[in-house]
Amino acid sequence: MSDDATRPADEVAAEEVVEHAAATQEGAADEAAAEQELVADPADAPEVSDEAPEPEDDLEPAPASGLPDAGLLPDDPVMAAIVGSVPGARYESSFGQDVIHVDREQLPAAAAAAAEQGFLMFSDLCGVDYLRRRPRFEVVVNLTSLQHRRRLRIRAGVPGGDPTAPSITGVYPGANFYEREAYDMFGIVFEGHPDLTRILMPDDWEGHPLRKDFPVGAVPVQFKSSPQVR
Amino acid sequence: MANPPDIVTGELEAETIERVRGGDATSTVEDERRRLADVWAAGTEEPSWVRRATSEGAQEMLVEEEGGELSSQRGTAVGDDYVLEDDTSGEETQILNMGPQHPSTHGVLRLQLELEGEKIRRVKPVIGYLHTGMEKTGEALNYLQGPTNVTRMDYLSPFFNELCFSLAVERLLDVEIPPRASAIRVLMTELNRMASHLLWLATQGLDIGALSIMIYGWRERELLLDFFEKTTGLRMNHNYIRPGGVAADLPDGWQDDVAAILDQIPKGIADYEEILNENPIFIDRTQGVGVITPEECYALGVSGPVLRAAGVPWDLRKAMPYCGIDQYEFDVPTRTHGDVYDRYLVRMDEMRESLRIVQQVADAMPAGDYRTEDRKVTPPPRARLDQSMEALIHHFKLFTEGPKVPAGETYQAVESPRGELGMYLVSDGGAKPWRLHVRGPSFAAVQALPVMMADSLVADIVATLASVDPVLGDVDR
Repeated sequence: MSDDATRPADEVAAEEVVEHAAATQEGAADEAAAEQELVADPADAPEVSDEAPEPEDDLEPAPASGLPDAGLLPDDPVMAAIVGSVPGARYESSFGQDVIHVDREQLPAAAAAAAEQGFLMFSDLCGVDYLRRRPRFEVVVNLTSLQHRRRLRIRAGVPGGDPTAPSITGVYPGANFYEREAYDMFGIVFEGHPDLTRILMPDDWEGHPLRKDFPVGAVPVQFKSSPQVR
Repeated sequence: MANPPDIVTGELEAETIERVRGGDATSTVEDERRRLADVWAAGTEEPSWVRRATSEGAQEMLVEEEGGELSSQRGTAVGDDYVLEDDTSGEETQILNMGPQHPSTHGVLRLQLELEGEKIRRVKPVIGYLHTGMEKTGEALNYLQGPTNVTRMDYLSPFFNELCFSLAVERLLDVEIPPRASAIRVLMTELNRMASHLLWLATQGLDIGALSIMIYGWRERELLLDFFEKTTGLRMNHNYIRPGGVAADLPDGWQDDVAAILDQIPKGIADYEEILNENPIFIDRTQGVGVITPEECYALGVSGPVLRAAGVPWDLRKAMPYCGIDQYEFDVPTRTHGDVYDRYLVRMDEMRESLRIVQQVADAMPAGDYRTEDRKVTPPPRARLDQSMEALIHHFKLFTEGPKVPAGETYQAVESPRGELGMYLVSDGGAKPWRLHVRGPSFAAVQALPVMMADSLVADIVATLASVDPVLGDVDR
């Protein structure tokens, strides 16, 4: 039994958060240099941050490129009701699909508003690492309304320097595993999650593999070692 | 419970220390003595190590006060419906690990079961044993190579993975798919649905002891796999449905093969139903077992046959049709009880509905090309390469670099045999996906296992687990 197992889980998680935040701050200076190395071809990264002036507010999600109708209040009452009840929410139609951008603090409120409007089924939650965009990460929640036969995607930017977001497990219990996966893969800490531990990677894995600056093929494969018994 | 250790004299039973330490060589006896002293000094009636018997670090099943697996579902329609009986107490529980090597866990699923005698108090699924980083791999493969990767996720319904990926890419590319390609896609996916359900029937039978059903299920499935092999060259992981259409046209004589399938499978289904429907052992093992309500399904993201067996006629083929599947006539079978038996009935009916669709597709297979003429995604025909320099360049660029997909993000879902299979695709305008997230139906189903299994018997675990038909390649990806 490792030392961690004997301590309360929230204490361990809190320490991880602190350690992680410290590591991120230390690494911030090197980040630009590292990005240059890792993203050798600039065309590989999304072309948003370079042209667009970076907003002062780190939480304001950058609009996706090539989608001019972002921010317009939607016509139909369902979307308008959700956008209207969440402060700072913006509607966007992405290839004919309904997308609502919210601040990360408003994630549970947006989820609750969507549930109120009939989006009862939780479909999906995942993280995305945009690396050179601000905010760096994004949490994407997919909801389905059986009543309206339509989908809704809620996107919330999460800054790379402080990768935390409130958990929506209070609204949709099904987000439990998905938030664990996003934490495991991107290091996004969901505050209020009942049991935020790694779900796919081994417990002692270092780093978060789906981050774009996680090296591929450059490190030896990490294995969970067995304790020596003799 | 063991007697409290004597803190004053510092005497600890070696056996106690051994149990608490769990054989970890790093902590010393002194450490343990200090920690145990803290535990007892704090006056907690139940020291934390009593239930922490699995030595699993962060994956430990938490004690309920700290937020165990089921207590996370408080505050919603989903609840821990376990009622503590008077004559039992928490001290009599034990934790049993089932899997990841257990033969009935459909791969490498592991369940931590907290038992009170024969009764399940809590279940915690532990996954990740088959994680191979396929989402990360997907970011390194271009859009033509992508289907080879995703087809290996849910290995029992590979066509659906390819279809979902292709539809997502095509939505971003905005290309038109010829009717024949769409019809072939519907044909292959519906045949695949039958193959998957047949394998489910085989393993469900195997898991609850009906060995003959296992053999029968595999016998009929072989017919379908032979046809897949004839069409795609492979029995599994076909890489047949690709962005822009399908890889090759149907083989000569495919009508005869489909006719043979349409002739054989209904006979098989009739046989299985004759064996199982009224079978008292099968009914005893499945009726009222593993019940889940529609509300719990919504909250936990459970879809597919499990949701339909709970009484909700939700099928993406009807609700959000793709590949022109809405032009074919079929029904969405539902049942009301939401137990294992109803899931069995729903799947048997779904196979019949798939047969109906296959019959209609085979009768009205449109002529024409099996892939789009759009040169953005489809290479020019071989003969053109000798005549046109542009064709040669197109061909070369497509296979070295891959098709470039406009920037944007989209979510595409199809109704796989296990439920909603979704892919969230983010493109930065390059030839490889910036992010490929796969929402596997089994992932949500495994998450819902604690709700279905709570308060049941140990023997019901395998029946319930088999009935949600999890594919661990889909769960862990």
